[in-house]
Amino acid sequence: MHDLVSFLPLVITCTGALLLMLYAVCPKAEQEKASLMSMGFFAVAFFAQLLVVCTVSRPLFPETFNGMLGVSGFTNAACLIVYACGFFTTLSSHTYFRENHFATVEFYSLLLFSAVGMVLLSMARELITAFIALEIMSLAIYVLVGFNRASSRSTEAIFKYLILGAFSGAFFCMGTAMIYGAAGSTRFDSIAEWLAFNPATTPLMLGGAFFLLITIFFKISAFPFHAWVLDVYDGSSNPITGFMATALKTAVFAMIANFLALSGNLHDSWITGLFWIAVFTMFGGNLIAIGQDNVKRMIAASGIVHSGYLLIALVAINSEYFSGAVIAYYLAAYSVATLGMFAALSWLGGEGEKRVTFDDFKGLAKRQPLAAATIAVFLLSMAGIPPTAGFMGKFYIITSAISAGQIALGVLGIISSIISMWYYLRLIVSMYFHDAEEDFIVDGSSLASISTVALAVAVFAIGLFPLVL
Amino acid sequence: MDQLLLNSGFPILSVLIFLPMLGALVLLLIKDEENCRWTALAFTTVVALLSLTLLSGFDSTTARFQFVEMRPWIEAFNINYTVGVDGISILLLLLTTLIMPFCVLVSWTYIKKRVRAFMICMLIMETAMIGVFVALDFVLFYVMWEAMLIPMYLLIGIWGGPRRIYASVKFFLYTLAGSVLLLVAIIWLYMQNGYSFFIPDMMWQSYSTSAQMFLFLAFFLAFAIKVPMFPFHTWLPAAHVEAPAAGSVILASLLLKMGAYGFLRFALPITPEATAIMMPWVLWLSIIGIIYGGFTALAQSDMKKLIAYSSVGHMGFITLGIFTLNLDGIEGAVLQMINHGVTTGALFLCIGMIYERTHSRDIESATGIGKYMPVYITFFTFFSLAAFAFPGTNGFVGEFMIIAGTFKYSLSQGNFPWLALASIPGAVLAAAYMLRMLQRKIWGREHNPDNSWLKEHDLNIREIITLAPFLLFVLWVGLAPKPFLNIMHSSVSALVQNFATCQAKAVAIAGTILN
Repeated sequence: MHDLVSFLPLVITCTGALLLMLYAVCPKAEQEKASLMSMGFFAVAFFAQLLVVCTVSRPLFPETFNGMLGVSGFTNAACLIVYACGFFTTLSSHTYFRENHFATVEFYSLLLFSAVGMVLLSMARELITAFIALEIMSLAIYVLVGFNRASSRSTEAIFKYLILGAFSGAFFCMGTAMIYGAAGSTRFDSIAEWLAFNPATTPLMLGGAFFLLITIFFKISAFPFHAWVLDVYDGSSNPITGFMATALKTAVFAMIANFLALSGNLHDSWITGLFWIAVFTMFGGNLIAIGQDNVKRMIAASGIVHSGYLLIALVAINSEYFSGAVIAYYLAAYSVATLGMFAALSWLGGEGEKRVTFDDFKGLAKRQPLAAATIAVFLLSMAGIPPTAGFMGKFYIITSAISAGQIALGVLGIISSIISMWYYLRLIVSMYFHDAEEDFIVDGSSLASISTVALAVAVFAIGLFPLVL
Repeated sequence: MDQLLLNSGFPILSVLIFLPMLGALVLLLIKDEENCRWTALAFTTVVALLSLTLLSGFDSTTARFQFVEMRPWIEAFNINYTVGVDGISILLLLLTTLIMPFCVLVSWTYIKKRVRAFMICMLIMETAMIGVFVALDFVLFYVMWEAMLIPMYLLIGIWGGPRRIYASVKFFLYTLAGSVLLLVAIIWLYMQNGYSFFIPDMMWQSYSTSAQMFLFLAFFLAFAIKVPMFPFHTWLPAAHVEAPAAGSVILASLLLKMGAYGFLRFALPITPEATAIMMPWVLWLSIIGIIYGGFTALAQSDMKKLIAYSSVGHMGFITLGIFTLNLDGIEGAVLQMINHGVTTGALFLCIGMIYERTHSRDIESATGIGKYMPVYITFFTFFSLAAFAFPGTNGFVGEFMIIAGTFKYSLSQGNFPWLALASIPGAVLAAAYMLRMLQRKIWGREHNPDNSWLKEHDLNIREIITLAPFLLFVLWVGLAPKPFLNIMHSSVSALVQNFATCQAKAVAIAGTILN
């Protein structure tokens, strides 16, 4: 019974997705109502998950479904983040689709489906399950990325993402097969057992892990698999970009952390590689971000940088501070700021996303002081300036890196965060230090505007009272 | 915990920290601009008055931290909210709280657009600055240290002059970059000290020399940029020139003190060995700063730039005093920190007042105004005299003590006092550039621009009220510095004492290794 209780949120989301799919065939179906419904499902799932976290204290059933799925404090945190992301994405979509008219009821159903995939992925304790979850998530996301069929940019984005995603899916299968060949099982704990007695550097194991990591790096947009991010993020609609940048990244990081944490052996053989990938991801992302004129592309590139910081935490995963909590905290902090950013963009972007470049936001502070202030808060949090959540997240990551003996990585992380300040400041400069060129007539009472304010408050709340730890 | 003296009772430091914050929140609810000004003035004044009550409860016979509060904050990392003051920080705290009301007053008519946002920035700034001076937990310190940047950045960027964007971004990135290694150093110390961020616990520990060198480097980079020491000073003139008058005052009087305070609070006690090794270099850098600042100031025609470069010189004197590591030098340096805060702050206020009238900061455009604005020029003359350490003003006392300390340092090393001699031209240069400006402003040349219309625009009551306390302070410290020295004496002498003990220990250890 307990097993099922902790799957309750997942069941709710899944039911929601199916119900919305059924609702879509009703002749009178309206996308506004569907968005409200999906908001409700996400909210209920979130609180159900919160209930599970609060009431069930003992570690739950390592053996659910024959060890295919597992729940820990870390996965719970990841699931909470995913549900919260889903909730706020629906809020921003609600506002976004008042100005942009290509939504249908299925949009929200797919959003719920992708959340199902993400939750499963973070719970996966077995490679085949992980693959299925990954595909549930990815297929829904592919459709969501290309939802605006009238836009050629959107089509380009979906095409790129689909082709590359298909490749990475194939790599994942390949890696799974090789690991199965080496260890004789696809279950994480069995692989760990095998690794305890055998070196992780046998060709099959090494190769299998290599292919798995390629897929993971692709999904989290780590160097050198980051090139797709800019076009895909740019081509998707604002709410979906926000959802991809946060929830998807959370789920994939949860999965890889579970996988790498299972055995120090495996982790050790990859640590040098991870080190360099973290460094290149941070600095490569920064270089790309500095060159952008488009806010969405800048945030996309900065998402690469944030993956780099999270990789630092992965490198330090076996230090005495278990970095599961650190990763979860950072993901929460990052998600709040990024979601807030995209909620604000959905709200201010206007019809056909006409406000996208830095120059388009000139003088926003004069016309919409609240919006400008919240965006500034999100940017400062992403940059890691105290007393925001982003600072605390970075602080924990640096602390865990240094306690794992990776002082160089810690220093590089801070240097990178200072470089990143440059492009975050640019947006603040155009919002605050320039005169307005237009009136920014937007609907101030929309749901997205409310959610930006809520998220901005959350940035400080999480930063000053980090309860996740 | 013997460094602590727990004053039970009223949490006055927390009140001081969060009252301006509360003021900022209250301002959010006020629409009317005039009311915003009055509210900001009320909050800063109440904070100033409250901070004065600290003096009555402060025990100046001990070097321990007082008015201490300690509450758990983030338990997972053993981060506490710990605040307290000693003889050094209480003076800087008082400087901060007492200067802020005047910053509000000088912005009364100077700031015309977005008054509410301006006042909110000022109040948040005050919270962060007070936080830096009273924090005894390293994370709390770092949070406040960095949080200071944002309101200052906005102050320069929104209400600044024509090149404000360049200046604000340079200020932000430069000072942020300085703190890169500081955070790493903090975390390293945390690991070394049994997972504690409590600052007094980190002091006077025997870290290895190489670790100390690394820590010192981290501290030096962060604090030298903030001071700013030559050659890290380039952000300062840009920021000063573009900032609005109140912003310049905050920068010069308070922000620059953070760096010097950082040296005293962290570099000296945490890395004494490395400090001793690096001392000669830092001393000569200070000398270069003094001379360089003096010559550059001499070449300026923009009054704000002139004062900005003179700050580089004055801060050179302060770091010189700190790194002589004897009682006279450090006491002189702390006193000079207060003095510089007051006189340079007052000079920036004066320049802001003339700028409000003529809309120019050029010396040439304000020549010969002595005839038309006698009250203004009287104030200005006194502050200028204080700036180049004329006997009888506060600057003389501080600079005299610093130079005396420098002499003592050289003599104790058995050297010819080159350092002290080298700093003298700095004092002469200060007289040269200040008198040059003063002469132009009072009398000017044969043909002055017609400024007779200023006759009706001499200082008004609000401006006189703003400047008078500064003048009072200049003369008070100049003629009777004893009360101020008394407050800091125990803390500074404990610092010097501990430093000497640490040195002796290190020498003894080195001796046993050699034997």
